[in-house]
Amino acid sequence: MNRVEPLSVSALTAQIKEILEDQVGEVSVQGEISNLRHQSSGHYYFTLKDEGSQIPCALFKGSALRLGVQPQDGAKVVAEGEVSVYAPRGAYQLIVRNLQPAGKGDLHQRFEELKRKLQLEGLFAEERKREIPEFVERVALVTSPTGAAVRDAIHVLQRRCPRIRITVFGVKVQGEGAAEEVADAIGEIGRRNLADVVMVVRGGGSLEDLWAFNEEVVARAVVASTIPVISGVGHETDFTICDFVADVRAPTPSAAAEIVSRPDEDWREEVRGWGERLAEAVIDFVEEKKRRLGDLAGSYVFREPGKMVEMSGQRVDELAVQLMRGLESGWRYRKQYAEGLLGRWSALRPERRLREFSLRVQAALDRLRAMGPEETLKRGYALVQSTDGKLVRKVEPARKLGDLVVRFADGKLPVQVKGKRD
Amino acid sequence: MAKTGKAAGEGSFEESLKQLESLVEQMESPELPLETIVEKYETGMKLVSACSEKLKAAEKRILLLTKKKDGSIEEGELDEKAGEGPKIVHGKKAGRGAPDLLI
Repeated sequence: MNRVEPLSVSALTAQIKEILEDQVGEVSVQGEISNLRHQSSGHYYFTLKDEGSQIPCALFKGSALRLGVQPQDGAKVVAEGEVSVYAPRGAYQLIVRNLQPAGKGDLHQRFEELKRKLQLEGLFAEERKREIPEFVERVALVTSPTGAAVRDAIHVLQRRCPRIRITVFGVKVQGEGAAEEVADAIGEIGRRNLADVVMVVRGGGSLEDLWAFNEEVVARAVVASTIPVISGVGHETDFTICDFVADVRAPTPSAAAEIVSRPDEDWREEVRGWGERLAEAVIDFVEEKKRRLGDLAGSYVFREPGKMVEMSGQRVDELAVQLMRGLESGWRYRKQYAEGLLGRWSALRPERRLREFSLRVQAALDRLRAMGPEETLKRGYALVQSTDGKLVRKVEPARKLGDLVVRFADGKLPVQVKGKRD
Repeated sequence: MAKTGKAAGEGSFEESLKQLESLVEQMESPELPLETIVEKYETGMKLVSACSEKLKAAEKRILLLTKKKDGSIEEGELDEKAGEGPKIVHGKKAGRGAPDLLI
């Protein structure tokens, strides 16, 4: 640069202006308003200051009209705008486009204040918290539909619980109006009964990024929700007001998804377990009855004829047939169940387990049928059966059949109906 | 079951599972009359079947709701392709651009 030729003041100012506008440009500044002047033109001029510094500010009419609030002396605000140079006076200044109250202090302070307030109201109390249902069929995610958080949560839900029905209620999770959108979405989900659990999730970020989840409006919506709410905002180390009031706080969106999704495989295992205990109960029952019948035949029936009639062989046999029918129809369900499952997770060999199950029930049945009338027949009763082994209980069907089998304790005898005797 | 006023398996999964549980416990009691075990077994199998039915995988469709300015709620679908992340199929907008950071 040739230093011989001096710059004009205007040229120097133009250079400074260029540097300032290029390198500083758009900013967001927090400070206190002082020396406020409202010109008749509609423009505002004031100084924004903190303990150590100050900067002159201009808020032009157009921007001022768009603000909901009037600037006031002494107000703590966040001003957004760009740094510029006012050449006639050689002064730099902030051209303010937007102005917002900074609240009663910085974010940490506001966080602590709201936390204290809600805590005093008892909104963090464990007794107030609802339980997240163990078996969740429908889940609603309140989050940005394009973020990583929604992807992570959906991935976990679908991997563990492919049956779960997912609704994403898309909201802004950051910036102006985000808190209101989140709060509104929670309310809508409840009013429309869209889910069993509401998951409020968002990926990690700074305190500022997560701020929407520290707003009272979100906290109130979570508390008022008719559906249990689980909060998974930010990373493990991030705590938000939303976390404190939620029924369950999860450290991350993925963790929230895990809490609502006990794996389907675990449920299947549990249902299978109960099915097996059901079968075992029948088997044990048969064993027990057999033992008791044995005891009865051996002992007190002879002293108590009434009991003997009650437990007569025919009655037992009848019940055996009934039991078998029951087991068979039960088996149809079991088969349906098996077919459904086989298609889905053949790797677990349910086929083998079901076969084992059926063999055990069959064995129980065989024992029940075998034990049936024998003891009674020994005491002098006989059974009338058709030639294919069915029990014949009444005169009319016996007459129609003609050919019958009479079963004694020590064997069977084929017989023929000769005529009807009244 | 008479207890709940619903036929076996018609309640929620959790109700069915609870019924099944109490049924098995009743069946395991030694004092159960012979007449009822068949009935209980059948009921139990219905519950097992109903529970299994509810564990079947659902459609992988993900409903996307967005609230419009007029307060109505628009329904769309979130298409989740493995590894690609979610993409809105016929939702209102595919993205909102960078959110305004005010503070």
